[in-house]
Amino acid sequence: VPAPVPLCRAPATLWREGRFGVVLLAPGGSEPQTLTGTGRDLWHALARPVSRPDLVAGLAEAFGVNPDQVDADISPVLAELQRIGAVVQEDA
Amino acid sequence: VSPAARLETARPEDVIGAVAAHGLPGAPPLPAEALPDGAWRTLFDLATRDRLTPLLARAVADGAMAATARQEGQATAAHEQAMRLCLLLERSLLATSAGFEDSGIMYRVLKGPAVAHLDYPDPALRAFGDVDVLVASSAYEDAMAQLRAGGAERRFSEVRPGFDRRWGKGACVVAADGTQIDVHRTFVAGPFGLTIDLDELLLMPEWVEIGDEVLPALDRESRFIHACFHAALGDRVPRLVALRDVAQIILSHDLDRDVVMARARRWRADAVIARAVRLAWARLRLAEHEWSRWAATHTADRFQTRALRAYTSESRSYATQAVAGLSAVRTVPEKVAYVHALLAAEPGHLANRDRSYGRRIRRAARAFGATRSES
Repeated sequence: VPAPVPLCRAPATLWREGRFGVVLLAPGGSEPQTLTGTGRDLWHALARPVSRPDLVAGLAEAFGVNPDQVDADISPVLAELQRIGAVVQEDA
Repeated sequence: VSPAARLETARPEDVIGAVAAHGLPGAPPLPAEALPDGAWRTLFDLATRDRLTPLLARAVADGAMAATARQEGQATAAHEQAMRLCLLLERSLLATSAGFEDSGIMYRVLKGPAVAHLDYPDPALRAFGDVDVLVASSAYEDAMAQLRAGGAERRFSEVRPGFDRRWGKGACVVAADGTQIDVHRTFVAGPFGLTIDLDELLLMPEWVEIGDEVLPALDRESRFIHACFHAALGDRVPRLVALRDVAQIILSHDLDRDVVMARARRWRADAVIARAVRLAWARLRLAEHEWSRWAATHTADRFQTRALRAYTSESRSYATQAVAGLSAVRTVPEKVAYVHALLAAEPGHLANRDRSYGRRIRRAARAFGATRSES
């Protein structure tokens, strides 16, 4: 079984953080998008390349919740971040 | 009264100065009780006008300033809006800089994006509303052509072809996406813009990282001098964000005053530095500092005293600054060319400003009088 490809923020993504969360503008995005709640933690966790299982495990440990729950919660956010190009596979 | 004295009243006009100082050493305290709604609305409007919503939101989030839940929500939402705009502007800056680099145009990133990333502990604390770049005089026409080719349009026509490149501050253009880009050749219009050694300004860049790009900005000393120009000369009533930049650079860096002042004196602008520091320390109510002590005792020479009037008097205008600029133009042939260019403006420029040559000459005469007589 091949090792999972690590994910990380696209270096070209512009972003700022505040009480509102993390607002980011992906290289291919037309408008800035805001990550709130655990989306902010997800963004921080992606500062360095991390495999999805490790990402889920890290967030589950940080929040003290079931990894399956975390996986389900971050799945749509991660998919959207990848779709707009804010998160990429490390070898991309 | 000590500059860092407690706010005895919660007048929004006083509180906003403390908001502008939030996070700096020697900053005055903020209200420990939430402002009444009317005072909050005034404070919020002042913060929006002076691009201080990030500092207002941070002061509330830090617990340094009391606020109701609704007020906190409003500050947080305004901060987010300001940051969304900053990201869009940074993308526009990246596109502009890529075009300049492709064309071999020497440039520097100025103001908002540069100070946000290089001088503030968190770029989210510094909002900005446009993109400012400095280009070498020799590359000015190419830079404008490059921007026009990308769909940008000048907001105001040039006095005469070649005026900007030789004597002007630069031009403001509106890019195809609606972003305002200020293309500077020098820091300001008028005498203080004409005494800067523009070659020295471009000598050694400091690099600013934006996204995955690294762009050239001014070195720290010139960035500070530019912040002082903007604070002291940019508006008759200085914007607090500009004053914050001045204090931010002084208080967050080991800024070498000897290097700064040697450069400022060469550019006949030490009075601009002194005025900016005095204004910053007074308006932000900061605790006394070696820079503020120096500024309080600084005396401007005759040239600078008169030049300052063109920026700070009630009659402040582009015309008074342009006319006052004559004193900074060095040789007689240059002065003749300068006056000729100002008076014999292009019809397009004239139509926007004076409508006739007669009116222009009369206005020039009034502006000349204003630079000599006002105090």
